[in-house]
Amino acid sequence: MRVSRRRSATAVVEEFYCAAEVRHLEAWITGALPDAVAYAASLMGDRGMGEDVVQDCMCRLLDHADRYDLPRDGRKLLFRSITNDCINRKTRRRETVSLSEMQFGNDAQREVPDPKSVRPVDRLIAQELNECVTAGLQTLPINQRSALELSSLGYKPREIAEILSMRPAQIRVLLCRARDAMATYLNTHLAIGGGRK
Amino acid sequence: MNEKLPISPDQIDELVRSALRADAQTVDAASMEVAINERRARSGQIHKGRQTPGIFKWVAAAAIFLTVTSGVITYVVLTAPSANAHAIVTSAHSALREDLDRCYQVELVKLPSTRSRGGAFVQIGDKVTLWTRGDRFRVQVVRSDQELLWGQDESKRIWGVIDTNRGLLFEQDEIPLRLHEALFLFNLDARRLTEEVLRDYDLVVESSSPGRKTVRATRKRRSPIVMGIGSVRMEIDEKTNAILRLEVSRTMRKAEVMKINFTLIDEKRLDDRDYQLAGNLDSDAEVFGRDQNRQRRRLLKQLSDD
Repeated sequence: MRVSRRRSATAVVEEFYCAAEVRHLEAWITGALPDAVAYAASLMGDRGMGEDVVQDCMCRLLDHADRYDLPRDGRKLLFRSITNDCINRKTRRRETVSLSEMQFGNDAQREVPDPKSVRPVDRLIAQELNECVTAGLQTLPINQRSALELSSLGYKPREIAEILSMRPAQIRVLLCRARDAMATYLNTHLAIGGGRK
Repeated sequence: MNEKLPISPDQIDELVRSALRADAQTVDAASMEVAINERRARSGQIHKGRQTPGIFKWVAAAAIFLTVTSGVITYVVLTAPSANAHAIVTSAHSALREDLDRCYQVELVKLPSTRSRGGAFVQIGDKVTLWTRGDRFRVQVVRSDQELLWGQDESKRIWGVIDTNRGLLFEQDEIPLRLHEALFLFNLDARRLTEEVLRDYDLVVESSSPGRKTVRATRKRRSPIVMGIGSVRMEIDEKTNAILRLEVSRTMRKAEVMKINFTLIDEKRLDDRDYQLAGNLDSDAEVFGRDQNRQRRRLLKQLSDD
């Protein structure tokens, strides 16, 4: 049987254009989601809620994809949207949820390690350190936490200021306080090298 | 005495980066993409892609001008079967009465190219019955000796029945990821599907069995994110134009992940309450909604793990 397709020249050109754009956009979404979820989960203190926030923000961003060049500017816009959404949610609802209750989702690194399992020591130390850092971040005010996390993700104070709608000087102060607080927290709570006299 | 690790403020960024990276590595980006696209499709936003820039429109116009003379003949010759397929699907769409509910037996078919066996709420091998009316649906999943009942009401809220005394209710903006995966599979509003097929698919008539017309629809590459329904095969009754069977391939990243066959087994009017959580619970049952988020999440996990 002869297979026919009704395709106009306009459709061919549009298809070509859209296919390239789709690939570009897909790549951007795939690349942005993991960092965005980790960031939102840290701000919310909960992976499930973080995923919800990212979904909301990503949907809003994609709904207005015709206004922006997402592969170029989308990451900053997404993080800005996530920050605002998290701050809104945190200030609107004061309730907190303990990490131990949030088993929903794939929180592999937060699982209690099985003492019988044999794992490389380095991995265990890194995991313990990450857990301690995550716990330490939760003790920071949300503005400090978001500034510090954005800085660690490679944003400059000027860019963080844009995302958080603050002045760069304020961001530098926030970063300084956040780093000091984190260093104090980690030095208090980490006892790596224990046993040495 | 323990020696404390001296961490200076300068090292904090690197430590935070490592912690975020470790967390990011556990994110299932593919599932999230599915959820995001499902959600956008449900709110009707999926077709709003970026507009073609002016330069491409001029190129398109030039291409049309250059091909217009030879195109007329080609068009007449090549579009005849497609127009026929279009007419068949249009008739089937018209025959889908809005005031009737349709019941389908659903079969999930595993593809050799993928490991996917479905999600927690529906898997390959489950016996699935699906009632639909517009956006509303009601799914009964029987797995070995267990039965799972869930659905979507007229406000697009998703509900699930734990037992006759307890139910879960999710507003449209708070549907969890694992439920989105199942919604992605069952998002079958036949009227909407045929509308989309007529608008966004290339249609071809296939050889049919007696009394049936078969149309295969393959998605044009126009939507901003190629995901959702890849191709559709419809078997349509020659006399009544009723869609007797739908074979839908679900795609993710342009690859087929699951084939789902919907076979029409009944058409009648159901009670409105059948699509509501309250209609499937006892009158004094407890409903876990937004206000009891913690318990609801725990029960949902329990429901999907059973």
